[in-house]
Amino acid sequence: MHHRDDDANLYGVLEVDPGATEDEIRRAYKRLSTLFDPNSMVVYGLYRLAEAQRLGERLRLAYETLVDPEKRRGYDRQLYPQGHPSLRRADQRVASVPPTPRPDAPADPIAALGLAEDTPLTGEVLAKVRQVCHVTLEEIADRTKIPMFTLRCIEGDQFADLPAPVYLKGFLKQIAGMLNLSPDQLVADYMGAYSAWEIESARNKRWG
Amino acid sequence: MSQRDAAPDPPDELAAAPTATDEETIDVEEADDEQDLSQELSSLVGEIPWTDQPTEPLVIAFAGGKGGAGRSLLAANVGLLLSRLGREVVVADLDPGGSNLHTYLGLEPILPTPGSLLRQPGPPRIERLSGTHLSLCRPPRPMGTGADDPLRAEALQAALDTASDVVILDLGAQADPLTLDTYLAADAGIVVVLPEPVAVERSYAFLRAALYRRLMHGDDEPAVVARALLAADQVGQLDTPADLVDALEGVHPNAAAAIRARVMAFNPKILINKCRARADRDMGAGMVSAVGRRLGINAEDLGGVEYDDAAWEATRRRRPLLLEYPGSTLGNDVERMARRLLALVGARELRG
Repeated sequence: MHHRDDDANLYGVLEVDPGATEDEIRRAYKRLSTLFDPNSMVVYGLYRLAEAQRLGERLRLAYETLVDPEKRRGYDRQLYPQGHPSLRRADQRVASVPPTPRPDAPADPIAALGLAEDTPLTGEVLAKVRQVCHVTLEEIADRTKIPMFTLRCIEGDQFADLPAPVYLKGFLKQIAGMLNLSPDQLVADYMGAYSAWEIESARNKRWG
Repeated sequence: MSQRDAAPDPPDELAAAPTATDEETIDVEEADDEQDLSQELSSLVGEIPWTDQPTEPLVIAFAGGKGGAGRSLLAANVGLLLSRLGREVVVADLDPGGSNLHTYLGLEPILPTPGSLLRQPGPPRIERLSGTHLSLCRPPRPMGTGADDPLRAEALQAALDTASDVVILDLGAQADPLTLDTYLAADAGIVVVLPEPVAVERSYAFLRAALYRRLMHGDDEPAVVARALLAADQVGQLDTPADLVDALEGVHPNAAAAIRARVMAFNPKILINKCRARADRDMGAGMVSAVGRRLGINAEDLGGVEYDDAAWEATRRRRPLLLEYPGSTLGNDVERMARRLLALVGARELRG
């Protein structure tokens, strides 16, 4: 669910990735400022007038900060004192190295575990793969900047505590990169199980 | 049994060959187009993992919005479409305001005798539309004429008991408890919205009511804790589900997690009907964004259905739209919408 934390930083306010390009930021602002304009039919009956106006102000402030390279750099320094988490920004592309497996990791960890090729990549399998690749959760957290808590939830299939799917998919791809797994397959399998859980919890609560 | 074998015999009206030579070419072309689309849809329906002996039918509910939004017309025609693809379908009329599903299917209304308004009027009526795999299930007297909830509940049960592949529910525009519970229990709950402020506002009111019923109805601990917290909130600080979850976090983390999971698992489908402008068709995506941001709901956009005089014409003749105007813009939009719906539900069924 969209949470107030999602609005805690300006990227969240504009619903863009911290590595979004200037063009993506412009498009996001155009879409959201039109959508949440107090006169827009889409907010009628959903936001009070004053709330829609405040949201409009927040969107404008976020846009003005992020669309200006100078202001954005300043803001990023304040938001990420440890360095920007994104690999997508041109000025960081050279500096950052994408997560890679350890040299002693098996090329096909699924086969190394003696599992069938099409074994669904759930959290449990992921934990085994990580062990056979000789990687600790701390190392993954260090390389990818994914919080330890989230990594534990991913391996524990604790779906309720995971971040929004859009972030989760990005995390999974990074993890796949460190474990010699196909990013697409990991995302497909894991998000499949995630959706199944969503349905399951919906079904369990069907009658209120 | 393949999909094609399972396809029902085409209704007489469609099979009737034109006699005039000058019309023949056009009609044949239309028939070809229709066949293409039908085949495409057949193959899509074929991908959905229907079991040979379905334990539970796929339940699709049309609700929300306001009167005249087009729920009944859409329910009837989506039902007809799926039945023509060989699925056993029952559409159930559960509109507490008294809907007219029968009119959209060309079936007779039930004219109540004065006695049936006073006595228990008997079991729900199930009637098959001849030449199809579609049945209409409705209460034994028109709704909106008395204490109707038990009659609606019986009709719902009767529809679910028919051992059909698909059960389509026309729930009307109200947000009474029975409607909300039925909507929440459906595999796909569709809110039909018109691109105008009154309908948009009503739809949000419906979604809010459904969401909070899902979060807080019942005697389980999370619901009880959440109700107590909201009851204590006299200044209205807990304005959104996110506020509620935040507040619960402090007093009862398990309840907070349960409530958050319930919000996330609520996936209403939004359909914009009677679109006249391009922007109208994009409204569903906008509403999905807006409810996501404001209420934290993961809604899904079913797209737009064109405003089309064919609907009005077909209804005036009391004939099913898809039979009367198979190639109309509206007919095509209904097919497209059904396809998107099946894809959404199908993906789910596959994983679930």
